[in-house]
Amino acid sequence: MTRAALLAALLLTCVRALAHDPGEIVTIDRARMTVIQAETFAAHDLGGQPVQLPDPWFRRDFKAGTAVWYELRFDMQAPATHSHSLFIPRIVASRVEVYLNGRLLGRHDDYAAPGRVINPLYALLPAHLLREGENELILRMLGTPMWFHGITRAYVGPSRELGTRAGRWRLMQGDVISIFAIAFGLVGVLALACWSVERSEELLWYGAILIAYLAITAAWYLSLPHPITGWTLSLIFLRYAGLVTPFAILQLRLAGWRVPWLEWTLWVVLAGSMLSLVNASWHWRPHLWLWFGLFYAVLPLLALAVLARPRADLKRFSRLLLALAALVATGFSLHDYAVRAGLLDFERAWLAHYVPPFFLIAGGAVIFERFLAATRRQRELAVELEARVAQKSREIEAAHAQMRAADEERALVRERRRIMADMHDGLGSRLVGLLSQVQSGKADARQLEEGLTAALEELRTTIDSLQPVEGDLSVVLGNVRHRMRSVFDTAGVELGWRVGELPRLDDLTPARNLAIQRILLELFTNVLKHSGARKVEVTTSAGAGKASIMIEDDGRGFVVGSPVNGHGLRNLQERACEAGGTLVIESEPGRGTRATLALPAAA
Amino acid sequence: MEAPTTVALVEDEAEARQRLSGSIRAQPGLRLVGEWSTGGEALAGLAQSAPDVLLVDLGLPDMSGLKIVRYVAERYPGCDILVVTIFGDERTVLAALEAGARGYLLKGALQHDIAVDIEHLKSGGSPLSPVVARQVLKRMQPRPAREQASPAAVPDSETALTAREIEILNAISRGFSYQETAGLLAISVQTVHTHLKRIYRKLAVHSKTEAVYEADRRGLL
Repeated sequence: MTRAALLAALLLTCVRALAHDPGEIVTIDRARMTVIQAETFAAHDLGGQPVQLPDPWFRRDFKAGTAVWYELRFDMQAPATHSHSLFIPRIVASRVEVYLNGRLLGRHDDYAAPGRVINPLYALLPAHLLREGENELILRMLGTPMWFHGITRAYVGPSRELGTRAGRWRLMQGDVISIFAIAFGLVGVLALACWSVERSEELLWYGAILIAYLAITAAWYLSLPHPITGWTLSLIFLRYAGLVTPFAILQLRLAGWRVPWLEWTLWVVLAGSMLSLVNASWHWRPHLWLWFGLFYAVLPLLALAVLARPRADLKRFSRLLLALAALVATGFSLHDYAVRAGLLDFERAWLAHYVPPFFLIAGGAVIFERFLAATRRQRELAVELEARVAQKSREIEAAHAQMRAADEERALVRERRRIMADMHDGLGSRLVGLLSQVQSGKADARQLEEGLTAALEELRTTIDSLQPVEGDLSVVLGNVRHRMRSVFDTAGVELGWRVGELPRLDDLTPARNLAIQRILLELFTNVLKHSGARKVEVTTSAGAGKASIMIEDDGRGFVVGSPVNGHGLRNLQERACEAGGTLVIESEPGRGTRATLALPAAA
Repeated sequence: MEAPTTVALVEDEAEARQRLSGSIRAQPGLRLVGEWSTGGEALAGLAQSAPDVLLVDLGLPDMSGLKIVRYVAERYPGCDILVVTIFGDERTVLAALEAGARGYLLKGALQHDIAVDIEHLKSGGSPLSPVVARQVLKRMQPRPAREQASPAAVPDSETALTAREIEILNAISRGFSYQETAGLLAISVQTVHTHLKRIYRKLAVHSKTEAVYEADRRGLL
């Protein structure tokens, strides 16, 4: 039930929508035109000559300020049931007054403020003024100092349909300028913000041009409520020329042509044309508009230079966009001039309004592309740098390894030589001696055992000297004791061990280690063999950059410097000296002996 | 009278083997239960004899003495191992200790009683040389924290040396005997031996974790 009702309601709506008569829109393309310097309307047939609409004034030699009257007629088929309007897409004059059937229409439209260039005109036609049958519209237009005056066809029809059409036209031909200007301003601010971080010339130009465009457009809009002056009109001109000039210069520069005189000329021409237009406006000389307009229509073609002179850092895509923008600017401008000059239908839309976005996009593409290229270059540079650093590190590493290897090799050779020499002089000669004793039959088993034991001990001492001790003299001392432990035990000599921590010896090489071990072994052996001591005290001390080992016994002692043992002691002292230290022997017969071995150590 | 300590030995040189076995037989407190000349024989023989003490020569013809040490230390934890070496150099001794040996005998310096060595061994190990003590100390220093992050690492408590153990190793590395070390630290010799046993065990564990750590570092695990 409900569904059926809904369906019925829907059908009804559709039928009503279809049945709705949009009403005829009447196109008025004939008029009578006359020039009467009168302020008010004479309520009679104006007479004048018949003209075809649109009627541009380009070829009519009207002076500025001339009052031109148009009489338009249209028929109403039936009494008006809903509101009707008048729509004239383009009517260029400094002032327009509209009379319907002899009555001046009030200002019920959005555009007909006094002193304004009226373009387009949209006005409600009050129902009580409309008649069935023929109606009469009278338009009074005052000329401006511009050269593209005129009037297009007029349309009369239901407000609903005509309002939509007028609104669309207004958007496409009027509001679009402010929309673009606002967009330009935003992009310009963004560009300048980027420029404040990354000082690039192109960014500065780009941002400055865009913001200037916004400023000029805003100035023009702000001037609208005031009476027209030369300045106001030249702002319209500047809005276009002020965009084309810097872009032309920017494009020249992008093409690699930095020609100061040409750039200055362009600036001077811009300023000069502005001033002369202001001046011309006051004196009502509209032809200047034509010539300057044509110049700025053609100027963007300079940008084609970027096609002729491709730069390495400008991709083909950007170059094509720049060239396209230039061609579009020139093409659209020429189109508009043709319209103004009456070569094309005067009712055609202005295309120059759509030029700025092409500049915006082309310029943006160039800058974005350069930004991308710079980023890419930076990344490549970073990668390359990294690779180079890695390469250098590897080289340095290799060089170091080589040096280390060479150092190690040298140390090995030195060590090998030392051990060879040591074996040759020590163990080798001892074994050769033993061998010859055995061969000559002189040695008995006991001597042989003693000799071999001594040889083995010697070998052990050598091996001990090759053990890591990390510069710790107390370990060397401890090791000597460890070797001699059984000898001391067998001899029944008491050993007092007062060995403390000792400072590191910086250069305790195996050679030095061996020398120190031998000196200590000999000192201990001397005590055990010759002193007849019952007790030996070993004490270490450290200080003043020295590490000392003191060996005291309570044996029989001797006279220091006596020839009997002098040779052995001197020999020992020389070896201590070679090991970088000193050996002091103090002894007196009957009062024991004290030997002090001192070695330089880390402080 | 308590039961004699059972001893077995692996030694490839006949002369040295006879000397060793002779001096063992001469001791009333020791009983020789095995005498082998190759690693293969030893591994087979050990299964039957299970001695209290095993003497191992490190240079065997068929396998590394260290391999036997490792095998026995793992398989027969009750068996104390002494390695027989000519020089008692730090590298050999440390490797043996890390493999699980309890001490070493110097070949060619066997004029003293082997029973004393075994006695030493039973009570804590043969005298540690200063160089070896020093190296044990160095090796078991705590690693820098950065490297310790290895997940495979055994908790430190199992391998880290205590302050007392460090003191003992320090004294030994300066040449003090066990007796003197005990005196220095005001503890009994028995305590020193106990500490040393613990150090040996830690060294063996440490060497294993060290190997794990190394393997982990090289990405083998």
